[in-house]
Amino acid sequence: MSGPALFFALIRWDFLRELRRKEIVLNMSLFAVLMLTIAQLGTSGDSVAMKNVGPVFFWMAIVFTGTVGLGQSFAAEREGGRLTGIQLAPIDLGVFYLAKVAATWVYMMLMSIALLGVYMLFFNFMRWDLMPSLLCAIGVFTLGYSGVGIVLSSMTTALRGGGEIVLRILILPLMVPVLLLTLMVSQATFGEQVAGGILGPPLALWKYALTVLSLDAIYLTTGYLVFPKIIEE
Amino acid sequence: MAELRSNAPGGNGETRAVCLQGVSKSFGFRNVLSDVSLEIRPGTCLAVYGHNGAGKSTLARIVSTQWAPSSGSGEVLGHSIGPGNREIRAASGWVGDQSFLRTELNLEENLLFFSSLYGAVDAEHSRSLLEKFGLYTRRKDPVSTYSQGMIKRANLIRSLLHHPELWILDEPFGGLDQEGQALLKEFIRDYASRGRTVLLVTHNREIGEELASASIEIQNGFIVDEAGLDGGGVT
Repeated sequence: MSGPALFFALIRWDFLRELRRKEIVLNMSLFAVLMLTIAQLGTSGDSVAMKNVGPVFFWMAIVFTGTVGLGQSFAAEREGGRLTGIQLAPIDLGVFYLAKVAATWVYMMLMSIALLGVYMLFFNFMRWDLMPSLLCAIGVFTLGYSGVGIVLSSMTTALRGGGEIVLRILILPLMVPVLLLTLMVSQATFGEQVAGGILGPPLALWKYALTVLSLDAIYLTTGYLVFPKIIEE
Repeated sequence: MAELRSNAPGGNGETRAVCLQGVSKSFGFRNVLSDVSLEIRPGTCLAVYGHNGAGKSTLARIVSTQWAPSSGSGEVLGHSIGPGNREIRAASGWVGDQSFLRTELNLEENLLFFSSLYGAVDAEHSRSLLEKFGLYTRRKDPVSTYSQGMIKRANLIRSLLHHPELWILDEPFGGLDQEGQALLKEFIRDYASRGRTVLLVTHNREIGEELASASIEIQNGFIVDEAGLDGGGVT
């Protein structure tokens, strides 16, 4: 089977699994909504605070729920030796990695869209004109996040207890550059500068997208090369 | 037809399904397999005996490319052993303690999934295997509803989807009922009779002697005994 055909076949099987189990997107979304609910209660009535820290809570919710989704997505591959079954098939494990990243990225995007709806309600954010730029920022951010996350969860899910704590400890430092850039682009995505702009001047969306996509490319290429070695070990 | 050697280099120009030379495997300071040299000709059913922890499953995992040997070298079906060798993986089938099956899918979907991974989608062959192993009528049921014996049968079907040249069976009779065991025995005999190779890891000598044309015994990682007859059978 050719690389692209295998890639799409693996994604299809992943979607079918998620459709039947309904656990990754649902779990992530519930966790994210819970976080936003707490944030909303904490800032309720203070419109300045809501505008300033709202985007921070939004990205925090994506980052933390992402670790839940990543852990579950890969833990499912370890059930009943499924990963060994994949390993023993005559396929490029790098393609399996890319398919897993793509499927996880879709799950994270679905969760983010649900989260965005809740955010609009809770934080009175009715800026439809900003939706394209916000979705663009979410898309490029979660792509790199999934790319790094799948490599790390392939290592941590083998640990006792599923390794979710280790995953969180490892993924956050790696994602800090992208996360800072994402907060700096909040003027373009949320129409507000986060926390009074202490992170630096507002960043234009196109500059952000180009920079983060370049980082995503580095993450994905590294993952493609490293992932098969992790699995074979 | 089997030629087995313990702790000796192999290779006399003839085709070998499996040829290992001085293969060892250790985990930390613990040697699990020590200096194993072994040659298996195509068409052989080789039984690998040994107590729990003797190293027989380790040998099977090395041959199947799941694990790399710590030292030594070898070839399986003409390709160098070691993780990542897709030629060996494409030509061998593995049955172990884990089924690899996706419990949220039904058996038919599972078989289609694995067939597509091997680039060997053959509905007729899948149907034939399902019928022979008695799971055709249950093929639409989720695998999560299967009994242990049914999962074992499904696992055997999965391993045969791509017509492997080398069939590696690690304790395949556990969990099978009398009928299932008889069926598997018939499959193993048929498989070897068609010139293909079977590596049968078992602690049950009775079954091994019934099926295998050659055998080795592993103790503490070393091959301590071997037997092989040209005409089939085992001493």
